[in-house]
Amino acid sequence: MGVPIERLKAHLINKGIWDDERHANLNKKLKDEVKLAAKEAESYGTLGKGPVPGISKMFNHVYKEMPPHLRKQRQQAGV
Amino acid sequence: MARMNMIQAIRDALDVKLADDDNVVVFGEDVGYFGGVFRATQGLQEKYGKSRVFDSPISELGIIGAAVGMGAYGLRPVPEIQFADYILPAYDQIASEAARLRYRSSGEFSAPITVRAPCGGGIFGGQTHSQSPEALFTHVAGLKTVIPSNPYDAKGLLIASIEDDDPVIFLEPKRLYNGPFDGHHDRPGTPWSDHESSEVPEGHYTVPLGKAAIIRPGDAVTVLAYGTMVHVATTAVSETGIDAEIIDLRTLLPLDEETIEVSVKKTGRCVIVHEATKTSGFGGELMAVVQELCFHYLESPIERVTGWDTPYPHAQEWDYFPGPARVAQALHTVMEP
Repeated sequence: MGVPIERLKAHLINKGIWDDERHANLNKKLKDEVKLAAKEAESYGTLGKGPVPGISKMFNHVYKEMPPHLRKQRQQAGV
Repeated sequence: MARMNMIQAIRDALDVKLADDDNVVVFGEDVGYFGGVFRATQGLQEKYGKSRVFDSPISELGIIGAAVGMGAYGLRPVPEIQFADYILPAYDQIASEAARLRYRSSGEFSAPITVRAPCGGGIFGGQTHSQSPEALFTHVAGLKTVIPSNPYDAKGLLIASIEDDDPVIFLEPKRLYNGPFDGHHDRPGTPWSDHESSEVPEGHYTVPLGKAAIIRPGDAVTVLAYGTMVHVATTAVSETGIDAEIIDLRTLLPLDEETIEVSVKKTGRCVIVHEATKTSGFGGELMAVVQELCFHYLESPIERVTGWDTPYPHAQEWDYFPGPARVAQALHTVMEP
């Protein structure tokens, strides 16, 4: 059956409401948008370059309030 | 003070929360028009309308999935799964979505849902209406697991669970709905009205999550139990005459380690009782906790009395069910010098 986007493109071109040039432009526009979003995300930090949150943060947000067994494990983890 | 059985106490808790919080919604299979398979929601749809109390299709995954979404956007859903044996289709939504939503979103979203489900055996229900799946939930980070053993606790714990901002699995031992069960299936049952825990205050009160209750103080041995087995253990203790301290855990997670530690350090002996299968059951976790906290105080090896590692049998239910005789045997074993 083929790749859905290619199939839709062929279908729309066949109907006369789409063409290769507009498709290429849309492709470029969307790629740029995704690249920009990825760059912005990376500006907040990456696993490789940091900043990486501290170990103590690992235990946050498991529960609204940290139960005793998790507090104990956080201490055992050295924080 | 009103006398209630466990079903009435649970219905009363739902009634209190439906009245005082518009965000509370109650739904599940036959929960609305019919009023619940065990009548736990009887009259609530009539009182609060179909937008607050309603029937769902027979899709456990759909019921919990919808609850997680409702919870993320501000509601406080109380979905019912009929029965706990049928909760497995919803397990992905519980373990991968409800339990982790807060963590995954750094606290931006949460799933403040309370999943009610009748659990446990002793009702001739065979393998699909008798199981005790609590360990499947205590093993999941982000969940709380609660099992009441009497009407007073059931109402207070259910209100506390609904008000809790984390997902709570609320397992209701169905054998206890109409009366405490002493474990002697061949003797006539007693109603809750003869039991002091059936005195249930009107209106709002809570029993805090994560706090165990000492059902019977004693010096010789600590018995750790929850749900139906609290009553079976009580029978075994009175029949043996051993001065046991019986602890009703009430909440399995977060576990009240402090009450366990104080008791076992005092008695030096421990018997753990649950209906669920033995291997990887919650009793193994309790054993580990007691060993970690109380090793130097122990006078004898810890004993576990549990269901056997078989599917829940129909014909041999009373050979499977850890009744008073098996609990008594364990009590004698740990008391041997």
